[in-house]
Amino acid sequence: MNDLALWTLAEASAAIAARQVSSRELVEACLARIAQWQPRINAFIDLRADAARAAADAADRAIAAGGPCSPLHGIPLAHKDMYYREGRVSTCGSTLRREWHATGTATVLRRLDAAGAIDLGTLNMAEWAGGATGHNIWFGDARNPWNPDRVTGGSSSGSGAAVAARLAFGSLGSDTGGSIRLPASMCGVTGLKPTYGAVSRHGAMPRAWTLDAVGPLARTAQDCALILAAIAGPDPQDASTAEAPGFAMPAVADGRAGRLADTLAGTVIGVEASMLQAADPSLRPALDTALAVLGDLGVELREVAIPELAAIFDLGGVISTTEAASIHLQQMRAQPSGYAPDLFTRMQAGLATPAVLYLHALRMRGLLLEKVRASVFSRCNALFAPTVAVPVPTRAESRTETAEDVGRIHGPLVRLTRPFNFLGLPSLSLPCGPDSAGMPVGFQLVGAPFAEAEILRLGMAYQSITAWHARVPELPA
Amino acid sequence: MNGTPTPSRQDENDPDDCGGPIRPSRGKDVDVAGSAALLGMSLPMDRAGAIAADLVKLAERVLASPVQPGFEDEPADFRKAQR
Repeated sequence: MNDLALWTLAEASAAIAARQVSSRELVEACLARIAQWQPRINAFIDLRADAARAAADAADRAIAAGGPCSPLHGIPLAHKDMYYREGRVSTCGSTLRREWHATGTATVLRRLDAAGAIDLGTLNMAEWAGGATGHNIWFGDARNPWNPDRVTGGSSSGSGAAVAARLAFGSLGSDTGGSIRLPASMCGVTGLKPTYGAVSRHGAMPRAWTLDAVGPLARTAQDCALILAAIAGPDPQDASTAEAPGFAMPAVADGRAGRLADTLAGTVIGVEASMLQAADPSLRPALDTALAVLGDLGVELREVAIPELAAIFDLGGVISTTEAASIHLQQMRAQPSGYAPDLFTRMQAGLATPAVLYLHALRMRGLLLEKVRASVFSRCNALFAPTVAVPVPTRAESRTETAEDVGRIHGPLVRLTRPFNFLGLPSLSLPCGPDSAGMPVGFQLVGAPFAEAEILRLGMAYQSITAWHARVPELPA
Repeated sequence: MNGTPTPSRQDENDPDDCGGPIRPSRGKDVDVAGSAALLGMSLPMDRAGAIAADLVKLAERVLASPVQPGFEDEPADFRKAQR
């Protein structure tokens, strides 16, 4: 394989550690692909090529000097444009922040810097992380590398597109109702929404502080694990992480059938029947095949039902809408024309949420999590569900202008992801093949609180005998 | 009877009578527009009406769930449930 950018993060990391490749070579490989792909998919908002080259050269010098070499040392990454870096613009996908300079650096960026990762630049996103499709009237829509007429999914739209097109080895997204998992699924990459409180949100733009999760999109579950290992854990600047346990990397499944059977012996995966039945028929062959593969690995599949699923979905919406309105109230009053009309309209709903209803949603959260733990995770290692219930829509058909459009288009997209934000559970989206239109399909493995290692272990095992994660979109001749 | 109002006293012909189950009714669009106005935001009445209708249906669904918080349940219990 001549194009270094096509390696997985883990492969690139091993090659750097063995001095078979330099960080500068990896950066140049990514920059070459960015030059080819950016006009087609609009993944980047701000490419920082010179800074990336300089950082790569410094990383190479550190290795030559015999310095420590973490798994991310010298690896080119790029992140959703909502992680603040001191002195740099973070647009958050909004025209209101085109000239807004951060006064501090996000904890996750500090941790990636400390691990030696290279920052290629900032990636496109839905305005204020407030959309499930990837449309953006201010910076242009990010476009799906598999078909630029289709959406990427959002809100981490540029992250999904960039990782799928192999423009970066991984990316930080954020997930309040599905914003990591939707673009991961629709672009055919792997995405992890960690447990609420597992990763610091300090220095990340808030969308809804009770639900927000910071996590990676990458080419494989193993790559996601490598990034998570660098960013997870308590942060004194984010109280939600006070009880975050350390993240232990799962053992790497090596792909040999006997070994895999040993690894997965006794593993039980619950299949959420109503979520599976909600999937469009065009998605079912890929999803059913994924279940069959897990069964072939020796996993016991057991049908389960999440109690009060409809209420969980509704309550997640109450929290998300109300907190977003609170965060944006002053800015909406002062600069209403600085918002896309459909986003502004959607956020108006949060202004009228009765305080008692919002508090009711918060009080229900612990109760419902206990019920889900008892009914699902007391007897299953993980839960299987489709990531998205509908085929990847076109950009034209999913453009929203009215409030009715928003409900009609965004609701079905987040139907299977938002519940796990309300419950604060970790969820890994894995690609499982194309639908009948050739667009990617993904499924979720959802874990108990702080059970990231378990769902990553299962994801790595799945990907050790499937190749959907290795499919790469091609530029037209 | 001890004087406590019951849902059966709701007047089905009066959409503003909330003695029973919550349902869309006259005046809730005004309430929504008023809530926004209290925050210094102007909300067109048609939009307020749509938000009100959604909110009423949402509240009805949520409050009809068989799982409801107990008297002592509080938001911080979520972190305990995570352990």
